[in-house]
Amino acid sequence: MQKENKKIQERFQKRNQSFMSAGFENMKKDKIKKEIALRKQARLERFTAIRKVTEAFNDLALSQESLSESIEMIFSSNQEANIKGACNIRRILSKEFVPPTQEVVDAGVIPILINFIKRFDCPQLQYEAAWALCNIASGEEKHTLKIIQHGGVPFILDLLESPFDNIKDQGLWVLGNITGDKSSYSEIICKYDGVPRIIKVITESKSDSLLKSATWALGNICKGERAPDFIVIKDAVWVFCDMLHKEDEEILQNALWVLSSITECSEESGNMLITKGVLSKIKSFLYHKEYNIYLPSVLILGHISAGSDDQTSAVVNCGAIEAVVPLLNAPKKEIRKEAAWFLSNISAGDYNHIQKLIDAEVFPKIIRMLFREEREVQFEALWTIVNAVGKGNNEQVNYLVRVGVLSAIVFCLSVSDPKFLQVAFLAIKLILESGKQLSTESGSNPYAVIFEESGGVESLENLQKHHNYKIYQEANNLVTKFFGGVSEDQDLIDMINSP
Amino acid sequence: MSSLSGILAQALSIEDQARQNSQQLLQQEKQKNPEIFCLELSRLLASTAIPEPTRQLAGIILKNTILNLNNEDYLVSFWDKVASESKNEIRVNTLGTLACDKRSIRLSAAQAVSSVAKQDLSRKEWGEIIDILVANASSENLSFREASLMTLGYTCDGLDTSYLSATQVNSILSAIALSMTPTESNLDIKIIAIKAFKNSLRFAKKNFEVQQERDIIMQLIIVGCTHTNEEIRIENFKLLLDVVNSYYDYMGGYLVELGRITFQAVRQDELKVALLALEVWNTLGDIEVDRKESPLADSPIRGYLLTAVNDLLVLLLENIHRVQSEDDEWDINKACASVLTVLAQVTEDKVMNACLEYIEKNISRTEWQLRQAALMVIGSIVEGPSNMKIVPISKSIPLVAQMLREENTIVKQSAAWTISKLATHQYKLLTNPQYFNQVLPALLDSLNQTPKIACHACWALINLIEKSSEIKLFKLGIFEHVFHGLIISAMRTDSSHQEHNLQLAAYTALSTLIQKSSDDCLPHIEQNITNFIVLLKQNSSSAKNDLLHSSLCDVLSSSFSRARPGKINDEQAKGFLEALTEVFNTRNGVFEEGIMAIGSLAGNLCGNFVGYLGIVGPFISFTLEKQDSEALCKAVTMLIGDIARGLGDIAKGYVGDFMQPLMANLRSDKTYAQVKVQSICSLSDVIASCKESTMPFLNDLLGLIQDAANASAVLVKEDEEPDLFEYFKDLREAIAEFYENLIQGLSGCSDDVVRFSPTVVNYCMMISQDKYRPGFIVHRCTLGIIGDLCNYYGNRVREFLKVQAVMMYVQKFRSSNNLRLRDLANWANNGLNKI
Repeated sequence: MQKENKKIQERFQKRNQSFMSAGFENMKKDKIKKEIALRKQARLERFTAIRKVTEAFNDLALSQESLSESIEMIFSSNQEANIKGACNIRRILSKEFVPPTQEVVDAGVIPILINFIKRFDCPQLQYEAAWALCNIASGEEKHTLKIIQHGGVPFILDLLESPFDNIKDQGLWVLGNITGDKSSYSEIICKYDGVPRIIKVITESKSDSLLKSATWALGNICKGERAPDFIVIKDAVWVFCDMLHKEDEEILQNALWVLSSITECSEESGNMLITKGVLSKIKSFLYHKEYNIYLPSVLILGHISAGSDDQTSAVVNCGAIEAVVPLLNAPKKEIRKEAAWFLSNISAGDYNHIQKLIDAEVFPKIIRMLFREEREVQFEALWTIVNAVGKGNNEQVNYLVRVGVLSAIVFCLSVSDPKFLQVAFLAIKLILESGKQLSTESGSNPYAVIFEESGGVESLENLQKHHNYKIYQEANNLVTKFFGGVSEDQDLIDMINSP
Repeated sequence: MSSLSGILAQALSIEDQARQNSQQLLQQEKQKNPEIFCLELSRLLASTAIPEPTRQLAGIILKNTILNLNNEDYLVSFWDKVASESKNEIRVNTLGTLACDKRSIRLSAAQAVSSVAKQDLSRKEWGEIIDILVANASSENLSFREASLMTLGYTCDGLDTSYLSATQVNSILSAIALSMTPTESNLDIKIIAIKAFKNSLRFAKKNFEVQQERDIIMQLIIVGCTHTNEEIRIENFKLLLDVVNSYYDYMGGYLVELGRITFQAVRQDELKVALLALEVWNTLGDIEVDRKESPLADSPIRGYLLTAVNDLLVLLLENIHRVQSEDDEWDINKACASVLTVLAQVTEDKVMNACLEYIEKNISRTEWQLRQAALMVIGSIVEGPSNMKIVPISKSIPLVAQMLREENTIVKQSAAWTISKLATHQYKLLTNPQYFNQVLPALLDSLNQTPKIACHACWALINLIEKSSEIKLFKLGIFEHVFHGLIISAMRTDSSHQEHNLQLAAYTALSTLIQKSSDDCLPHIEQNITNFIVLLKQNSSSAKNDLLHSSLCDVLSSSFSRARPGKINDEQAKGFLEALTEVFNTRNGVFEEGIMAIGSLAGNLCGNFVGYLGIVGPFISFTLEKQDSEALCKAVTMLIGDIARGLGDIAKGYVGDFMQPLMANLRSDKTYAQVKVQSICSLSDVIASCKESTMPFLNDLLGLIQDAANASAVLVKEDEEPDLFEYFKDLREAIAEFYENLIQGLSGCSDDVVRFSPTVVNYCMMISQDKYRPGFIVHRCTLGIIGDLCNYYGNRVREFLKVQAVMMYVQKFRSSNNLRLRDLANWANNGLNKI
């Protein structure tokens, strides 16, 4: 009882102190934080000076008025003052290292700016206000959210109807910023038909710069982890497909990157690219000298071939295998790696796809890569093998054995990376399983014989000394199962399948 | 047994010596064998042969021992080791005593039983105790009922909710609720039941989820809040507060009822009850403010305040003038203002019409209570509503300023509070020239009032100065008056109250003024430096003036950073460092503000600081060697970086002196974690200044940073271990910045840079992954490093930069919504395209 009363008294006392006192408590802690922030800022400023980074908004003429004066100006009833105030605000927001966005937002500027962008009677005001909103949207997510909460999105989209290109452009920048790198506001833009409206700008646009902004904004809406439903961005995919025929490299790059991101997340989009018949076009980029064009192209083809068997077939039928094979000899490691990755996606298809790879004489090259490639490339090559022996029929596995896959895998056992070894074990197991069916009457597994003759058993026995318990265990199981002793089949499969 | 009883009797003796003896003996007995000790205590508690006070004490000590309330190592989990026969006997002895005819012994037994039950239940033992207590809680025998309810309450208090089954919880709650119903006429039992219910509230989560059960509980409490007995009402309101706090999400269906009982209490009930009733709304408001500030999907704002806003406004404005207390205690006046504050934060503009009307009507009334109430209303609504709605308040500002000069202390004090609230949240209303000319003189006058009022004035000034720094309101002509006023306040000797320490407030305001005033005040600031140094010198040998020392150093630090280059002469620098040395000696160590001031001085003197390295060096090494305060070690470590930055090229000649302590910090396992991070930050500064002169240390340095980099790769969940998360984040940022400086600083030593840059790039790419929750700094450094490497080394770094991961990373930021990162990514992309 005593304790109880004290508790409620303490609660009131605490309220009394904090409610009626000035906020000195955290001042010291804040001060140290400020000191540290100041130093970080000093370092940043030094770097920016050294690096001469060109700023996206180089309209940095110093404004005469301070931020608070500018804010007052936009609250005024004078239109000229409004324009000047909005202009100053967007300048201040893009000039400062730590833009005073919070202050601007706190001052209640957002609803005013949203009112300004509705003013089709005064394009200049619309333009400056849109630019200011753009800079607010480029700040923290909570500020972006404010624009949405104040109902800004439909009016920003209305800017796309403006007869003036620079206002359309500004509207696109705001939209692109709203859906920027981490936010998830694509949905609200789609709700107001954002996708078709941006597409309209793209199809009607005469200037390249407008086209670039529109592509960028549309790309931001369509890609990312929380992209809208595929049905919504379907039309956008057509547009990006069309852009693949553009000359401008920046537009091309952008379109390819967006498509790469869309095809990664949605299998349906692969079908659209196939229907649209752009696979050959994308295939033709595989030899592009610009890495930013080559890379997304190979990623797109890889993503699509990782889809349904029909999709894999489409990629194979467009001649992608033949196009990729020469890249296995490219001088750049990265290119070789992605080429091998692509082939591993094909070999994960069905036996028809594997046959195509066999017909294109891919495997001897892949097997050579297992002997001499750098680890990352070797890894992709190994996956190509594993997928093939897993999905291929007995004849195809037999072919692989004949072209020397077992000795290449034995060679791989000298690597000590556990992840790599586990994949190699999987390959061994699948091949030896297949060999069991060919066992002679005496009971010997012909592949096991080859494996043993290549020194495979010895390597496996060595690996039983591996410091990683799992590796030791799996090596042990393989030896037990295929080279004598009692087998514990299911255990092994479980172990290999578990990551 | 008899000996223990003797010792206990002694513990109740009036003789000091005897009591102390007894304490020692008890401790010995306990240590010798806790099991026997507890067993014997339980026998004493149960024994009718010994005096009542001794039995009572035995129960209490038994409880303290079983729950290990004194936190003794040998008692941790000792219950595990107690033999089951002993446990049984203790259970029987204590439980049996609940039926004792003496109340004091019953209460003691209740505590003893609950302590045993807590230990047992957490080990899945003695589950039947709950059934026994529940059965007895509805016994005909009043004393037995009382003791059982109490034991149930104690048992639930602090017990982990997983230790009771749903069935057990239900039976406990029903048993307790039974004694809370109107049919229970015994008030003592009722109060005990309410308290027991409070203790078991945490277990009722499932029950609150089911509407039918929730309805029953809420009805019980709501009816209880209007009971004819005041104490019962108070206890029910306290219970209601806990319910509202724990089960906010389920209160939607009871708002009308809650409104009825709380409004009635505020309007008609005793002060105590009325305050509790207001506290109900304050609690709901606190929760909604919290949820508004950090929105989470599973805890939305339920809009209770919004639903009630109009009724609440009527209630609050009708009662806010009720100042009940002359001596500044919590009263209806403040409680109403406090509820209004959260109401305004949550419902924003919705409070404005009624409040503006109230302010207009009352701010110039002759009754001081109404004027004061109008002030409180203004101060309460400054945070939340939109600017456009707030603006009309500005016409009251001259009246608020006027009230700062009133006779009545309560009014004066409230006016100061209101001004400081306005300055914090709506400074623009005050900095408007039309009003500023009235507010500022009034504020300066308030500096001479009671310490509390002067403190509010200082706080208002700090906010006004800081927030108006852009429009340079505090310029020459105004600066001198404010400066003077603050100096006088800082010198006042009538204020040493901890909560409103005027000296601290005034010096803080001075320091802010010096930092933020316009450039035309610089000569004034520079002229005063010597005065502050003299003050520091005069007080340097007085050990009790800690606060003054740090405040003066704070002011000097601001002055040094503001003073123009060349405006601090050797005499001043030397005078300051000598005075500070004396203070350090007097206090037997350094302090943060002093160290910071040295850093600012180094920043101002640049190369000229080189002459003082000899004075400063020993403090740094002394502090780092002692390693007895994390904050101080961090400050001196930061100072090393400040000096290196200040000296610029000249630092090259002392590169060893800078590197050695920082590397030693990193090497030693005694160094505080924060100091390690700061050491890496300061190394960035040293490298930026010393450039290629750091080459001799390079291999060691890279090794040390590599160790830190390995340690920094730990993934910690922010919501689980926020401090650790913050620490690793700081560490990763420090390392990224270090690498950035290293690559810039050593741009003349290409072979070495090319050799270690793959490690740098790998590290940066690793910590840029989303799972590390990287912020602006990490991305800025990573993009910067990529671009720098391309620009400085071209094809030599091609192999590890033209790779998918790096390309995709840069690509991603070319459409970032952070303009700075986007610019940097475009710049880095150009670099990549060139190689």
